[in-house]
Amino acid sequence: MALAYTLGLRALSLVGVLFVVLLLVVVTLGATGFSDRMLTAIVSEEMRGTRQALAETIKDPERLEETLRERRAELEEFYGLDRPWYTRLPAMVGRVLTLDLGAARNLRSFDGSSRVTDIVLERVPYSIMLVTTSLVITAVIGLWLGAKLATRVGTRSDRLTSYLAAASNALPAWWAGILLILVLSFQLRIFPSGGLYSSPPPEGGLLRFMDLMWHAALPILTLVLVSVGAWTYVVRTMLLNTAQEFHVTAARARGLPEGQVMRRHILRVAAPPIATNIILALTGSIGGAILTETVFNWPGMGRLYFDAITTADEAVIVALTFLFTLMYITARFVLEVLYVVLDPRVRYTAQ
Amino acid sequence: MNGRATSGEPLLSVRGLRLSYAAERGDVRAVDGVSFDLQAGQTLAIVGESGSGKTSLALALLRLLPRNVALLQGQAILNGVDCLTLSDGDFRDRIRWRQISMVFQGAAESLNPIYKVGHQVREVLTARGGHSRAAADGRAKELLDMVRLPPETFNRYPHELSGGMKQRVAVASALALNPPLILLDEPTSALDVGVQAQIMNLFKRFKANLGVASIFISHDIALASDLADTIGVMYAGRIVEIGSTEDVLRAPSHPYTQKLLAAIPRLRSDAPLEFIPGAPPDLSDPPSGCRFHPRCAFVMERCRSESPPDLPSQSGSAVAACWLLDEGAS
Amino acid sequence: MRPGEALRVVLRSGSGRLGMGLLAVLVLVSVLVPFFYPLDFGLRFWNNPIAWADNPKAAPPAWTNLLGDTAPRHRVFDAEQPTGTIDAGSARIRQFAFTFSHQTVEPPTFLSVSIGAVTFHERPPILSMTLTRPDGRSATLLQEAVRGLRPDETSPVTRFADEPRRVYLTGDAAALGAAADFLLREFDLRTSGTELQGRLEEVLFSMPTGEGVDSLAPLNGEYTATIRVITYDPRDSVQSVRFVAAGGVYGLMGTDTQGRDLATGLLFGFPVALLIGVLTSVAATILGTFFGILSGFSGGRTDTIIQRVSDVMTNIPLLPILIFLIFVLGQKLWLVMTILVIFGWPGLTIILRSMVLQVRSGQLVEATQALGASRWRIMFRHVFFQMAPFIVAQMIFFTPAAILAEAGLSFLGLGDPSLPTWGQILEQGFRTGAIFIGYWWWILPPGILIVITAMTFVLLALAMEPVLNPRLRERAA
Repeated sequence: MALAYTLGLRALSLVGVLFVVLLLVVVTLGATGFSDRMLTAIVSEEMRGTRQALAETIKDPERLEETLRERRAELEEFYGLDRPWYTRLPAMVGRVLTLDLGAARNLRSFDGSSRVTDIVLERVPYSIMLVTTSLVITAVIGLWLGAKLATRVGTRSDRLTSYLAAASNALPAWWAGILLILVLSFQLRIFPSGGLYSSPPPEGGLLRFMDLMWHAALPILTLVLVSVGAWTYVVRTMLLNTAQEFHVTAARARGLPEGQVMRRHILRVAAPPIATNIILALTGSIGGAILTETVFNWPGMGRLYFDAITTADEAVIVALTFLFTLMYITARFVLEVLYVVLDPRVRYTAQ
Repeated sequence: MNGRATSGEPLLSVRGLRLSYAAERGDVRAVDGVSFDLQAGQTLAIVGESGSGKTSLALALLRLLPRNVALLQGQAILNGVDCLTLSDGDFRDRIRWRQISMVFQGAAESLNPIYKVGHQVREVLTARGGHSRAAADGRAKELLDMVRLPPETFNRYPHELSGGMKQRVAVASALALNPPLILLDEPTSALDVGVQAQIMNLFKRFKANLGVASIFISHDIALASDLADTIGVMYAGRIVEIGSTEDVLRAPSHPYTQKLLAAIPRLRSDAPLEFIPGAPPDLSDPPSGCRFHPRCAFVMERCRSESPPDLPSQSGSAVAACWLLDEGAS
Repeated sequence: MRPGEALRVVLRSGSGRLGMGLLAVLVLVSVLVPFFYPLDFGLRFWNNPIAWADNPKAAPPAWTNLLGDTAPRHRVFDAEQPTGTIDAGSARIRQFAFTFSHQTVEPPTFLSVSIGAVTFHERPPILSMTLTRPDGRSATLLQEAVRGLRPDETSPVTRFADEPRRVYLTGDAAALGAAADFLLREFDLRTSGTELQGRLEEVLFSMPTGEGVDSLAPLNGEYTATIRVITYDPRDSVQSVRFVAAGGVYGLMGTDTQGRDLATGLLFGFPVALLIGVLTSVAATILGTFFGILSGFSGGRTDTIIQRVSDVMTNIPLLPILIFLIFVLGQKLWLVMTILVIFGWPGLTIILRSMVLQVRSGQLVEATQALGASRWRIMFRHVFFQMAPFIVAQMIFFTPAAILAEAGLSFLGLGDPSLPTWGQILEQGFRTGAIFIGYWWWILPPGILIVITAMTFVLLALAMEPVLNPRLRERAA
């Protein structure tokens, strides 16, 4: 019960965040006149279809124009274009929520659709693949290396890692990506500089998959490189802090085997604060992913941002902003559930 | 230094125990030549101000030493085995928690916050006692019952328990492997007075029913006398007076012991409470001669230069390290 | 801890000294740059292609020649006074002769002639340019008359005053035709202007070694470009003449594909980066400190509201929102900074609030409160000073975050065009495909500068740690 209550509270708070973002987006669009332009574009799109359909039945050009004008007025009323922008807020929120944003100006989906929904949604799996793969690799390395360093505090490798972790705060992912392209792709020609598949893509499932991995290697390496230092440092520091807690001494006093002390009394106890730090790093890694995809021309949502900015496609940008917030909030909620499961102390305090 | 009322082989015999830590200012001599005997089933109270080295003494006996230990010397013979010369592995396998267990000062911090308390008691039993999980569960519940905790405590997390309950869990864990000796390091100082009394009663019961010997470490001589058969008064890393509780309380020989006793508030007494002037010495640079001399009301010339040996007190079994006793004899 | 003492602690560590040194350089450059740059540098120069027309395009830095490359130097000749004057009747020929030594295998990358502000009264002047080679052969590549009086104009007329008359000989059909004539006359090589498209310098700065224009040997030695302005009235004048034999390398940092001198752009980036970082972090820190202390001290509804707002703000992914807002509201640097401040303060507020709660329950505050000190006085005299080192450290730590956020945004193409930043230079390089062509001088320096600037503040934050954590201070001592 208490667990459900705690989680419910967090979920509610995160939904609140989503709503605030939605409102911010919609109000900005309305107040700057962008929403008028977007809705007008939707109306024009529909009018094209109507004109074709009506031209079949109405032969008299004057009557046709008259009917079309009426139809257009109806549509404008339907979309609220005849009213001030703030009266349309709820409808616009709904529109963004369902990604019902009409057609993109220039961008097309892989199979040629110009619907914003199609264009944006087909990119989602590529982004998720990139982010999760690099996250898992970073986590494994960070946990392993952090635990190793915690046992040798003050040694040269420990200090080096601390410095590198601090330095990685100054290393943006996109710059690291550019360096990797310059060295590994342009100079040494080991990896492709971007894209998803070679052209033409190799035939056969396995070969195709290998080709995909080969293309994903550099972006993943980039994301791992810029975040693994901080991870390692956090794990190391949290383990050290935990190791200094008295219950660890008490566990040793009881003569428990050292492995068990490490596993049950240090690693396990340090897990919640480590999770907290990951939650805090989440916003940063979303930004890193957007820019890394851009650098490597990886056809995910981040690269789509770049393309949408280039072609000034506001509907796509709105959809992406909403989707990124949604993704972030989902990831955050998953991590908070993990945190609550990891730490019995927070389960009951909410009451 | 020997307690006089000895009969047969003592359970624990400590001789010339020294322990010092490395620090920037120089070595801190936390324990500086401590000797005593403890009979099976008996309780020895070690009493002194904070910083007198009493906790270090306990940690030395359990070999829970911080990394900056500069010197560990002397003997601590438990059932004929010198605990200090055993290898780390042997000590852990044979002595730690099986022969000597401990209840720490801060019970709240001695429990792992992540696991249910029952599982933490069980952990000792499975990891050290060779119990199966089922048997360990049963024994853990039995132990919780012994410390008067309701059965549902088994499935509680530490943060759901009160300080007193956590201390009981710590006691249950200390009793898990049936050790003949338990070190009680200020086990009640963080608790309310009422809870303190309950815990003290618990100790008394175990002493009577289980025959467990204990070393009770406290700054509170009155509380210690409630449980102890023998009292040792520690000052600046040394035991300055040791003897049966009755003798020490009735006729304290060392001026420091006298001061400690005079500082206890008493019902229906008009005498003003005394306090000990000055501060405990810096153990990295202790005073010459008798370490108490800068704060002693009876200080003499030789106190400043010569360290007093253990001298029998006028009454009973106690011995004290004070030149006054020498004056009295001559 | 007093500021002086804190500074000493910071300077005791290697990272602190390095950070301080880098900061000194950053500040020095940033202070000097505004003295030498016009404030509208971005619009008037950087993003104005005409300003860079006479620079070589995508040329590596000049010092790369030291590494054994054989690219020609970039040569620009400006003159206001003629090197010689010949009077022939009513006509006066002003000669501007520019001699230069050509010693590399590669010819110049382009040739251009510019003539500024020609004033005439009756007959329009005639402009010409002749290139004389070391072997004595010469080719007249430019010959044209200034446009004469139009019916609505009255004498005297000044032409090319706002914008000099610039002839880009390399792409000029007449010049190419003249070169073809030259080859036919001097070497009996039959070719045409169209055939010579893009090869003007190649044929002018070499000797044919066989049949056709494909076998050429470079001709090194002294070349002279003579620009003549023939006027027909003693009162006529010409203000300035420029000849450019463009090099294959340029300046300290090279140029981009528009010919922009990257060194000037990079230098201009210093004050902009520092401005973004420092202004944003200071503003966010002030807001965060104010709300944090207010929230911790006031409790009740104020506290609840501030905490709710902070919670929501810290949960919003920054970059997507930043992209959206800048895209919709416009690419303005002040807007970027404002948004960074708005999203930057809540993190500090949350931390400070919990610190205030700790301090508030402490004895010192209780005691001063008992002595009758007012709440605000306590808040600022005691609480603020206790937390000051922590606040400063947070401010330092926020600085690189702001710089990197702006750089990331610029990299996505949302930089403010009126203020060139390192991120924008990188973005233009990236968009042009500089990475894939290997224009390293375009890609590496701005990125390195961004990283170094961010690193400066990270190092300082690192060195601040002992100030915050006295336990570390002892270990370091």
